[in-house]
Amino acid sequence: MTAALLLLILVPAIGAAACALLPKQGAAARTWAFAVSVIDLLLGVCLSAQFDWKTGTELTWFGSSFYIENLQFGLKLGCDSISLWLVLLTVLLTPLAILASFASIKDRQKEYYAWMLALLAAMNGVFVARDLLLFYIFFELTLIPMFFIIGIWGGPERRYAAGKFFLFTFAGSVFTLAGIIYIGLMAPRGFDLNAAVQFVQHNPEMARARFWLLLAFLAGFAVKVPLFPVHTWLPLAHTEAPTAGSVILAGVLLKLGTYGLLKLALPIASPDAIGLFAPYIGTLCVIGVIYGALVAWVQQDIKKLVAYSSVSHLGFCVLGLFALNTIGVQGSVLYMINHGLSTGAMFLVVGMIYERYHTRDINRLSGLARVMPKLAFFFILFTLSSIGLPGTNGFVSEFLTILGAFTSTHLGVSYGAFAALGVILGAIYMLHMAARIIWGPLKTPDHDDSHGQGDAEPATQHGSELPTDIGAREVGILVPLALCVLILGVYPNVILNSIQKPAQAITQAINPPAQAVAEAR
Amino acid sequence: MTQLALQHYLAVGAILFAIGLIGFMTRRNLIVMFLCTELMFQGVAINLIAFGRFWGNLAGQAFVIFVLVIAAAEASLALGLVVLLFRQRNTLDADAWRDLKG
Amino acid sequence: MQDLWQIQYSYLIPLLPLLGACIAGFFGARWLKGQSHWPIWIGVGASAVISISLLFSMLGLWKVAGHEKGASAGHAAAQRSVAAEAASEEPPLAYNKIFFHWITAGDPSGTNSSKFFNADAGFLFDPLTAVMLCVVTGIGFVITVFSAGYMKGEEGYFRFFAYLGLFIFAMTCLVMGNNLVMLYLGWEGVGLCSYLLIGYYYEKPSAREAAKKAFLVNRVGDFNFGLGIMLSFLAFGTITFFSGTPQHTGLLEVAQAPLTAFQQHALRWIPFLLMFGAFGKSAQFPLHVWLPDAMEGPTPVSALIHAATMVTAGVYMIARCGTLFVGNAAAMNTIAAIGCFTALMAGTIALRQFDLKKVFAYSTVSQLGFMFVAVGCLAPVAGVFHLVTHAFFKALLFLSCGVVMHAMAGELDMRKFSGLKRVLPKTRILMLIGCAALAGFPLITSGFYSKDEIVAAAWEKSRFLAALMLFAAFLTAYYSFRLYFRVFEGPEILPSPPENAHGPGHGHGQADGHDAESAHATGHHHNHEPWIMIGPLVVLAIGAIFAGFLNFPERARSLGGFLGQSPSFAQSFNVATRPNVANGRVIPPLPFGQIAAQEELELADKDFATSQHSLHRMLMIVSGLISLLGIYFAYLMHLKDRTAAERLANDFPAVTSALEHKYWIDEIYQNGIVEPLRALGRGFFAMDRIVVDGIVWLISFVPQASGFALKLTTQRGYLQGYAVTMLFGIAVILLVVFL
Repeated sequence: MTAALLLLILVPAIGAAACALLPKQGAAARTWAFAVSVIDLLLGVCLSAQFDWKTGTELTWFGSSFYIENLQFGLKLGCDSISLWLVLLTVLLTPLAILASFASIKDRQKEYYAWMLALLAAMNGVFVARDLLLFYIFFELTLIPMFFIIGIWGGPERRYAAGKFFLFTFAGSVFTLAGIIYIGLMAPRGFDLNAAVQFVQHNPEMARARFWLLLAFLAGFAVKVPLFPVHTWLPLAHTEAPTAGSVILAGVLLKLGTYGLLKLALPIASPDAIGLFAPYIGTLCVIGVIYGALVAWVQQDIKKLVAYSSVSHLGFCVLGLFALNTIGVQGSVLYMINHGLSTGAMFLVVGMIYERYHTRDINRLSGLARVMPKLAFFFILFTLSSIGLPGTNGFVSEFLTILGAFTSTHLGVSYGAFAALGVILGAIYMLHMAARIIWGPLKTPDHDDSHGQGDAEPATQHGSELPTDIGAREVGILVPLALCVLILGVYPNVILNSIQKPAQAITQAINPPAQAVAEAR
Repeated sequence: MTQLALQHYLAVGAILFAIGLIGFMTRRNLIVMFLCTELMFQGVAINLIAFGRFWGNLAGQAFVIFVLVIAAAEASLALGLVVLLFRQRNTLDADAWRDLKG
Repeated sequence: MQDLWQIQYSYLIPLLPLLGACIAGFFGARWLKGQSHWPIWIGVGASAVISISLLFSMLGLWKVAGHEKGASAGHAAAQRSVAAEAASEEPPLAYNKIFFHWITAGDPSGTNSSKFFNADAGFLFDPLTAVMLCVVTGIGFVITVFSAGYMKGEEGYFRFFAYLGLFIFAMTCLVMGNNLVMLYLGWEGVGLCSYLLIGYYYEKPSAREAAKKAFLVNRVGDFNFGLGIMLSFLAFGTITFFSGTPQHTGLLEVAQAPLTAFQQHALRWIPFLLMFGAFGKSAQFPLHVWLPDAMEGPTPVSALIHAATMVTAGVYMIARCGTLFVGNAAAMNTIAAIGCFTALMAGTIALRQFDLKKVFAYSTVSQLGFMFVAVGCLAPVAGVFHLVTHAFFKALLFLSCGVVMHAMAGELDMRKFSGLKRVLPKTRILMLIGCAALAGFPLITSGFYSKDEIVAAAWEKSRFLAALMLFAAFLTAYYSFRLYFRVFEGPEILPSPPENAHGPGHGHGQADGHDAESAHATGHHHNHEPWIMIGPLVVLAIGAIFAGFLNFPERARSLGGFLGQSPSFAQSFNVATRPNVANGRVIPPLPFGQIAAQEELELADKDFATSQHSLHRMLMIVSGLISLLGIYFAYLMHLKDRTAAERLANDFPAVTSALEHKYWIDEIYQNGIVEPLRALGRGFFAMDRIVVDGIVWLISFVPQASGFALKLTTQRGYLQGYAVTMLFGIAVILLVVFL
């Protein structure tokens, strides 16, 4: 019954095609998209029920009829616990993102929802692909729906943002493609992921090539993550994307980069090369952490603030990966999930504010707690998760990634210490935002004519009325995320224990025991 | 001079092709340009037939029939397009359509 | 020990208040409304009952242990080293209760280069925990009762009680946590509640800024604390305090095994990192700036969080992690020096504050300085003792302040009223008790005994330090009675009617001048002292007087002896007496609560013991006199002739200005740290747009430029042009092929 792996991709893909055939008018498209994404969520749950959490044996599915002999390319799917958690994150966030679009997406609905479902299929595909070429295809396939979602339904600068997003990530991943083709040609079993990893790890002749392969993978994944100097596409894309787009972008698409680093770059690159690069990448991460936080602090647009906070947070995530020890890698995987939950939720809340006030300017919003106590509750909760308050999920992953860097033989104490500065700075910018828009004297939304002239929103028609608090649908969107935030804060071991083995396998390949013994002396 | 040799045919074909080419490059009228491309086709067709007879097989003639059919289909399509273009700009000048410039 | 039902069900202690908080928070707005205090009363009350019965059960167990020890000490004339060994051999009065593994990461086999990290959701029960639990839940309960009277009719009544419940949850986790990360959970949790409660009147920009400031300043401390936790893990491979197993794997048991070179090196840094965390939470010098601003919160909050419990967490933490500290003389000296400096600095600032709550806020900072001096001078018992007595009398003072404020319609400026003894007779007596305890009025107040122990400990360390502490004690006596004499004695002056309280100029915007409260005050002008508010004050006043006898020095079964049973105290004594640490000095065991060792020391060294006793007696007399002197000066300046103080202040304008501006520390931080950082952020943002994006633009410029060049040359849209180009191309190909 591992066909659920295939169905996970197939159901939303067919759903997207069917969605495109639905009638243009009416709410059919959004209901359909929501139903399909919920089915996908159930499939994910089914898959995790089948998964053997104790041993962590990888589930696999191989479509032999799709096998292309000449290329040794096949429809090979599989998932271990790390992939499974990320799939669960994806299938959880997508229905919520679709639900959040119900009110905000008004035109070209069926195209929008078709693209959302296509995006879901592609994202699931990346996480379950166990064939390098297939991985790459899905990896690039995520770009196209997102390109259109930003470019059609985005803000005023959407065209430019969509183009920049596409070109940045695409330019990086071209190198990744080169690396993948090289491995596919060299490895005896072609593009099969696990076999390729085995091959490069046990073939000393590949040592030199593995150095270049690391660079090829870094070029693609670092842009996607994004690491410090190549991050400029992210704030723009986040700010211009519609709410659901930002949620998916921050929640899942950024994780494709870290997942690629974890699943491809670390196992395939040679330990020497990784050891050589780890300090540099660690430095970039630390710079990103501090830089992102400081820039976030001075933003006027709250969505941009959250976007820059992602730059800062992902710095922690990659820092944990390149700590190259089990604590760091476990913390990093947990960070991927937690960041998806809390930053995704943060974008949802910001979107809800925007729907009511039609502004995201920090100077024009104030005292929302007075009129929207429920929204304020969720806002503060997700803020706390984002700044890593113990008891919420953010703390565990932040602590473990820093601890990983701190105890790492490759990075060391100073990396951990400087990254920990991000803990202070993170609190500064998030509380700055909370203080400005949630607390303080209430400012009624001013409806000057510069915006909202064309769309006759109900809220703008009787402008003097105060915006209403979030309704049942919006509470329904936020409650699952809030529960995840708290549960993962109180019992993170549900994830940590299950990813212990794959994380250890990855780090053991990089730090061979002999080296560890030498260092222990 | 009673016997027409291969080179005479080839010369006629080449002249036809050259006339077509020069016409294509010097005239601006879309229909004339189209006629010129047809001339070039016929120049090539004469070549093919001449070679077919020279070698004594039917391949050349088969080709020419093929070319003629294609040219007819293409003529109907192209003239239709020209009519459409004329309706858009009220002119047949090829320079009116420079949208492909960088 | 583990059979105690209180330990079996110890999860109820934090969870009941949390449950109460959830009920009040989620159902309060719509259903409970004015009854929202009930879930919190029940929850906190129940956990107070459990905590107090736990304390008594542990006292019962101690009796057994103490008996054996008394018997052995009777006929033991052995060396101290032997005694120390015996002390470590006997089963300690401590038990580790683990509920589940909270965070587990790393390689359990430990063969790889990765370590194994484990933080349990577990509690450590020892005398220190029991005492702290009683302080937290007991005083917490008293204050929740008071709050129901004080906050009556406030908007967001349910919210206030939900926060209080959450606070008790976090604070109990803090004092019960069996490892550093659990401690950190409570630590940041109380910080969050402090943030929420300071910002309770969130529509006031000053409250909002104060809340943010409190959280951020604490974060600076927590950053260091977090690094300290990580360094401890790196050095010792564990973050659990006390394992209770024969392997001695806990942090408190580091003295049991020889240290590696790396561990010794780490121990040079760990105390400094942890110390900074404590400075943040307990508002010590570089990080003290948040506490005075925190008075923006409702007064019961100031009493509970910013005086009695949360701010003492730093002292608790240093006492708890004693083994990591006492071996490092530089760190201990730093703690003592910072504590002393803070005590003096805050004490002087309090002299020129006119807002009642601000006076007590600076007084709290100053008293916390005293506690830090105690732990810094190797006298953790004195620190915890002062913590307990201070919790009683400072909570009493703040709550009395709340009654005054309630009656004065939110007015807190002591220049605006005077001679309230007729209006608030009960409060006057209670405030007098509180002020006397704070001033250390000799013999009958708790503050006298606890402060005296601290001065004695300081004397052991250095005479100069003790003199400074005595001066700080003098300041304390002066400013506390300055406040008392101004507010309750002298001619009766009542503030002008409450519409003044709404005016923009009132106070510094510090008072809770909110509508509901002033309306309430004017509406029920006849009764300023309802029993729901006075009752809790009476309980606290009793504590403020009698808590001093808990550690009466001549008693064998004192607070100190009980605390000495805690592994934290016993093991840190072991560390402190190790030859390479003690460095030839005699470490007195009593400040560590090691009564048995003290008895042996006295048996072994009679002269030392008698000299210590006479010294203590002498110091008691001196500090009592100093306290009386302070009260007398206050009487002179603020009751007999109120213009005298102003005259004195006008004679030294520079000093007055420095005090009134709190030595400009806020301004220095704002302009020296915050603004440069923000400018850096702006600079980075500009860099992001110009430099980083500029480089990207440059890279994209190459294809753009070449495209532009082609556009101007060949790709011009002329059909014939393309044809010519094609022809030319074919010609070239033909030439190449045939030539």
